[in-house]
Amino acid sequence: MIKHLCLSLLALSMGAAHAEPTNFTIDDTHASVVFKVSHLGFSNVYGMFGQSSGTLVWDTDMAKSSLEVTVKADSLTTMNKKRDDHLKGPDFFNVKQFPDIVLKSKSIKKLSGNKYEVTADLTMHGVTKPVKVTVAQGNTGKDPWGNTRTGGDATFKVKRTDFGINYMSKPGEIGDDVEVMIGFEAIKK
Amino acid sequence: MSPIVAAFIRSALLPAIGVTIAVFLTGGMKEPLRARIQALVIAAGFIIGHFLLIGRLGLPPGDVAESISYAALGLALFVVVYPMVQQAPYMVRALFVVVLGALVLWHMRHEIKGDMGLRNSIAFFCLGLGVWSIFERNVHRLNMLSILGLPLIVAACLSFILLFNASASFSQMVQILCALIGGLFVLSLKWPGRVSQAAVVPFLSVFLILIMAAGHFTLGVNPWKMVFLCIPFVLIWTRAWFPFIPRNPIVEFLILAIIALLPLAYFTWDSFVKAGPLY
Repeated sequence: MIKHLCLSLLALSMGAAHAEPTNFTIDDTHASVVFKVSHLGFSNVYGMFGQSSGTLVWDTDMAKSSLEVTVKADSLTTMNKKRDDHLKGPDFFNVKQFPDIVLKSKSIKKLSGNKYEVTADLTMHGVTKPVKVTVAQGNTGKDPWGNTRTGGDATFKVKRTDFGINYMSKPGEIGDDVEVMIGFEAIKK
Repeated sequence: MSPIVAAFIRSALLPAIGVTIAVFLTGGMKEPLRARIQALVIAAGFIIGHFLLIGRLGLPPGDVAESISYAALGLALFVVVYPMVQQAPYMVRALFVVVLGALVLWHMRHEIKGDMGLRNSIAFFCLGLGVWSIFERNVHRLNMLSILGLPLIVAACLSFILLFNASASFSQMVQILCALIGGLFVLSLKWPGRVSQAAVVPFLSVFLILIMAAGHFTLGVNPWKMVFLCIPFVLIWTRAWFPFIPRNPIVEFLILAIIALLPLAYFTWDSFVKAGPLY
């Protein structure tokens, strides 16, 4: 009988330890999606996207965790209206035809400490390609408004020509390699 | 060498030289075979140049730019079917303009919703069909230099307008067309009889209007600017009203070009001033 009781307690404890995944909503106000690209080899131009949304599902079982972020391509800014209009036009992001940039995770793997590697599909300019995103998780806790909040920083690199953004992409022109840096926070639903 | 100049040489100048040579070599053929072959050559020159410029051409086309390449092919095939000027029934030509417009603007169809989008698309349809018809009906009144030179002025100004509206690639695409027309223009200085009117007319008329429509719906270019750019087509339409303009090819072209350039050059300059310096 004691043996049955122990087994039952063990089963219960396993069930309790495996909690439900926690759902978070990306906080657009505290999300920064920044990119940098070489300009003719002279320097890097930095730009950012001001509007993003998405969800984060967090579980201790990484296989059940997921991340999906949608960025509005039209929210791009490089602090120069002419350049912004050019970037939003058909030469680059073509935002009228491709209004959204979507990052959707396929798997999340813990590296070490607070670092994770997210394998995701990035859909941009009508093309979907896999990318590996390195995420450094920040704190998780209560914010001043009583919400449970988490966040982190993510970085990854892409070649814009992989996504059909070919304009002036030859060496010495506008860089093909684009580095993306994301700072994000998410609020528990 | 500047990458812009290198792109122009690679995508515009080299195809233009190739097309000019091919048109010269086929110039001695009899119609309608000559019209069919030269139309296909011009379309091929544009498609190859455009591919060298943007580095992509998917099937189906992935965006408006790629669709314009397929529109060039469509026009060449239209000439293959109807290789004589004014041979195609009006309704067939009208339907074809609708099909080409749908092809080019398919990826921008969400922009055509609403009263204004619908109205502008109908306006561009009327402009495209009208300019094509004007050209076909009046091409016999003009020398080949004017037939090529006046649309070349339209195309050159259109290239600038697209550049000022933040699309260098669209501007460079029109530069490909300018180079092709320019090559044929140079050929016509010495051998005007080598260029088939039936082959070039669609590319000098409705094709330009298609690009204007693409520029409006993609870049938000004011459609009235596009209408204003069509002043040279009005000169083609009204050529018979100016019998005092000599029939000498060069003199005729120079006089008509000056009349066309005066308003267009000022308009283009004004657009540049309003757009401000390029970044």
